[in-house]
Amino acid sequence: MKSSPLYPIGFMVVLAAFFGAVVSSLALVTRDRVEAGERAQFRQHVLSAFHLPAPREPDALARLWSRRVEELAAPQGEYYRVRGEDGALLGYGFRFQGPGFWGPISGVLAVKPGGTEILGIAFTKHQETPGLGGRITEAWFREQFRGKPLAPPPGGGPALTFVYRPPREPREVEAVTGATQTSSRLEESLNRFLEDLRRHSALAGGEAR
Amino acid sequence: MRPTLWLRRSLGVSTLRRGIWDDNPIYRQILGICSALAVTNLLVNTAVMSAGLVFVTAMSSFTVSCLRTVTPKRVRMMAQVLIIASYVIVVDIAIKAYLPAISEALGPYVGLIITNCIIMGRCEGFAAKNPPVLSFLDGLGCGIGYGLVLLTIAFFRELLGFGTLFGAPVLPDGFTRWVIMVMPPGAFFMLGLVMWLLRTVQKPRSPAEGG
Repeated sequence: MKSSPLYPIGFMVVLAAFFGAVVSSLALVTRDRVEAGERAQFRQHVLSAFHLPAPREPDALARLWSRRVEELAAPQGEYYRVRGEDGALLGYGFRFQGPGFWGPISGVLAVKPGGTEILGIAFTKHQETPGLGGRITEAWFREQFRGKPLAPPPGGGPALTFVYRPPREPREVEAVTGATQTSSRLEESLNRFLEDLRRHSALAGGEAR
Repeated sequence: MRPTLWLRRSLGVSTLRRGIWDDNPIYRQILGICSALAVTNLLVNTAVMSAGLVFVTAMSSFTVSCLRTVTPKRVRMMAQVLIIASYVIVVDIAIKAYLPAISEALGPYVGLIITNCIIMGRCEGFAAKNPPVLSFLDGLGCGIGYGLVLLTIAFFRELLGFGTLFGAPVLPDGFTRWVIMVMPPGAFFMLGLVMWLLRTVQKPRSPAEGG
């Protein structure tokens, strides 16, 4: 049988079917868990963009989310309306995605009601080098976005400028040293996103009260 | 029989020891270098990557060895890649399901375990000709050997590059971070130093062996 020219083909078919079945059933069995984990991870990022403490425990997180966050839809995609402990509107969260050095960088930008000021930022997915470009997820970097204006300066130009030294101007953000490509691509895509965002129905229309 | 003598004579133990020390994949076989350079600037990432590789190498070697008598010669590499890829996906799914935070930090690295030459090297070089349990031990030994060298490199890179160990600050605030340790050149320097050091230490054990 082993000398038959069909034997290698049969062997590979059986082997592929077996391992394919094992891997697929494992993926099926853990699908709910993986999705729940990804959802929880994403929600924690949204809350962290608003500087809200996100509980690690899944049930507590789900309760907090359903009490404080509304998921809304706009032509530009899903966005989030987040309220404070007292029910007052904190702001809106918008998802963004742009190129990084190794792959796309996506995240959530929290904006104050009225759409003039950034509340915070969180990065949900990226493939940047750990310790270099990957440092965009660290608190010191993200913290710099708090209070930054959405609109470009009156004289024109980008809303945000990344600099490789401690920032001196209100529009400046200190970039990650050694991760020039990550920083410059992020700077460009964030500025483009901010420009589009100012036309977003949630901010431009009467909803942003 | 004295225990040390038994340890030396047992085939299983010597197979395990060969992967960890005598014929370590990193500083003896010079395999798996890409990941040794890529993931070693943070200890947490290195530890998860090493654990994943230990599992994949041991299980792939075991499976390839179990199938060695029925695998046709011409398609053996195809079969090995299929087996290795399946185990890598298993690791990826397991990390995603049970350690979502680590999965996010590692990003694409887990999937890249499949490109690690050590795994296929052990499948081709050992598991295809040896019985399953011995192949399992061989894979285990090589995985552990790889992990130990990587953790050593990561220890110094994280300590000098970030002043932290497993993310916890251990050096005083005044310490000037060695940025080069975080970047790829730091990995080359560390890897070179580790190879030089360990091969020097090892030399008296195998005088006949060439570099």
